[in-house]
Amino acid sequence: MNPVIETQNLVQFYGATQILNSITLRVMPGQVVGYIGPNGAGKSTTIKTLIGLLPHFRGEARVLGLDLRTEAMAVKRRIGYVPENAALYDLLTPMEYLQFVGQLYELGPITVEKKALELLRLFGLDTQANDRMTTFSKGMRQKVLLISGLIHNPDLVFLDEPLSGLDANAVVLVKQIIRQLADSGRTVFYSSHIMDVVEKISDRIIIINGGTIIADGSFAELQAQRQTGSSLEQLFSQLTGNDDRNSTAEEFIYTLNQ
Amino acid sequence: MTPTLLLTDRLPWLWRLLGVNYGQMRAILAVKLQLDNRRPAVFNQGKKAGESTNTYWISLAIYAVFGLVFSMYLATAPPTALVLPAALFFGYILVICLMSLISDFSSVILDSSDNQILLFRPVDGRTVLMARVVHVASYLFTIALAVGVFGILTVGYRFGSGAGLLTLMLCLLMAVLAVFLTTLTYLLLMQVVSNERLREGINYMQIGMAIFFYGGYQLLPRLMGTERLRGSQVLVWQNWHYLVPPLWSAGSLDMVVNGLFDTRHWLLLTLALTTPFLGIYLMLTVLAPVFTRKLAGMDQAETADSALPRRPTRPGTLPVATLSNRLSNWFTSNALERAGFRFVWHLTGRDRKFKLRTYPGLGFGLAYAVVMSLNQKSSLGQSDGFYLFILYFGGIYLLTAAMQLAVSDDYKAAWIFESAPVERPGWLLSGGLKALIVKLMLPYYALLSAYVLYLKGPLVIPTILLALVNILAMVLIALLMGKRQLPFTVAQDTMRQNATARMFASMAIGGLIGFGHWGLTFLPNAEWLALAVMFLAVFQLVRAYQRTQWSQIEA
Repeated sequence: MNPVIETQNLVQFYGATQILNSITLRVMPGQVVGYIGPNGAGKSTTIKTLIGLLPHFRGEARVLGLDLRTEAMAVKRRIGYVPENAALYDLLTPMEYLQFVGQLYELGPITVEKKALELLRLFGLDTQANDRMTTFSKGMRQKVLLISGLIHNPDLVFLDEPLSGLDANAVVLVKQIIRQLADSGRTVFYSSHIMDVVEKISDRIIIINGGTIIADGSFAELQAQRQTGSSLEQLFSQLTGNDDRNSTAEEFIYTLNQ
Repeated sequence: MTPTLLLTDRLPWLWRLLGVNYGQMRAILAVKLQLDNRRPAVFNQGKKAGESTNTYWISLAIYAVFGLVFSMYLATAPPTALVLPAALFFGYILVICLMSLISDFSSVILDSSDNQILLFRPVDGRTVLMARVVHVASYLFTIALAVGVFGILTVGYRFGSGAGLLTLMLCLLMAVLAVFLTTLTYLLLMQVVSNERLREGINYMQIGMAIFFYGGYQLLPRLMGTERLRGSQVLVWQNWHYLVPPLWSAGSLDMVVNGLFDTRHWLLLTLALTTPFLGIYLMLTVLAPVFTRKLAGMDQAETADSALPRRPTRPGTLPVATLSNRLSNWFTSNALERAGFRFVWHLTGRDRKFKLRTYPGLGFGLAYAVVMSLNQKSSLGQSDGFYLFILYFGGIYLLTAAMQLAVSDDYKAAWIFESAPVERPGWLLSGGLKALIVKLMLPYYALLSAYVLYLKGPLVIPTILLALVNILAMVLIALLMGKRQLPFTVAQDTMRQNATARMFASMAIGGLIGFGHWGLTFLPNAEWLALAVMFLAVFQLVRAYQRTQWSQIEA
């Protein structure tokens, strides 16, 4: 089997600031990869590079067997992406927005119409399918965004904090969708700050800090490197060097009271 | 179905020729036009939807009135001497289109806010760019038609409907040419400037373009001789005329009206018809590939702005006395006003779109100063009052900036004003205005005054002071009478706000006040007296502005 993501010493700069520091990755199809790290570690930059948004990188990167430098358009056609900050045109209705996205992927309007209605129904949004999204809650927008990232049935999906704003029922549903996407041979590259979700759904966990990968493996493998019985949250704290939260919290309250 | 899409649907061969994916382009264009239609309802549900449509029509009417002046020349000139008035007419359309593009529509072409929606989809740079160009062009066409409507009718009435239709088409081609010229300039800038400098680069470029185009327009008729405009003298063609686009259109009209089917006129017609499209073709094939990449870079630049100097602050120490902090202490009278002052001071320096919309205004004043001193003997310069108008251009810039201050992409952050215990929002307004005056207007005004001082000597000092106070009064009255909105709290409505129309209207008002002021300069000591009166008036106006209640604020 060929890897779906393959990078060799990927380096990304902004101006003089180095954001990614020699990332080397191989991801095989059918996996859910949890990509975690503290704020500003370079998670979103990695994803934006891999979906072809930031073409000025050093090193090698191949996605779905295609060279990211020369065949970015072919890559874009076959991947899905759900951005973290719920960016969509909220003056449109969900149906209008999904039709628009469908046209960008050059899908037939009738197929999109059918698919979009059905997917919205499954997310419980069928009654709002023709309302403008300005009045939508964050979770409702997130559902539309998820559909817009998946509607063209991509082989590889990048999800940046996909559960944000979703209610408990929708979280369970989306977790199962992620699992089943992977079980049907697709690959999910998943970035989140919610550790227990990552712990449960990921086949493989990659921790990045300061632009460098500092841990890589299944949850069991990561656990084996440390004391047994610790959760991913504890592991994460130990690895990213923020272990002493109690006293920090005390200091915080102390400063507020000043 | 909008007229724009109706038109683009008729041109599949054009899109194929340009190498644009029409299906995708149409989708983007349709969504953008739909968004423009729905925009007013975003944040302020209380606002009547009709209101912004009204201002849109009013601005079109203003353009039409300005265009009327030029159609007078078209109506009175003898047919044989039609070239000059026609060139002025087409030149005016071109300049209005360019000005709107530079100050109102630049943010559309350089928009990076939908990067997260569009750029990761399989759409190439050419298609995205073309969608934006057509989007902007659809608005420019209405503007060009508004400016040109009387001219087109005049030509049609005098010389038959064929000539009228030709004029109509030439007007629209002026709009296309304007789009090409501005976009080309931006794209060239994108090729040579690195991502981090791009934003500043664009701002300077805008000021430069404003000076160049507006100045060029002021200068051109003088180069060809103003007296020919009214007289019946026939233009003597020279080879450098081939470099002036309005003369292409004027020559084409000349050809049809006077039946001059010689090589020169055929050449001019060919230039007028093909240059805009050749330009767009060149732009798409040679320069577009860099476009989306640079756009993505701009987005990145905004998130990781490292240009700000890092000031180490230790807990327990006082904030460092920066320039803005010191100035805000001098110019404001309480904490809330100071908050408004610093907020506006910082954001006006960093909000790229605010700079995009207001900086071109700086260029007009400079262009005016340069052009007027180049030909002091002609028209306004003759009356010796032209230096007054230079000063009042400083006011027009302040007015534009004050009008634009409420608009922001981050308007959603306005919740902070509502959730904070702010009793009198007027203090925030006045603080913000003071920051604008101190930071953006005074340095600019000082520059203009220094030039006037150099020309006229120390005797003009009362004039300089009075003009300043008058400008402040004018701006405050405009703000008190208009909608009062807190800084950076209103969603952007680029298509409808038409800063250019407003600016041309305020130029007229500023000119009127300047005229009155000029009258005063003939009376001994009248300026000092007026200065005292206006100073008190400004003081009272500021007080009134500071007393603004929540009920008077429009979200």
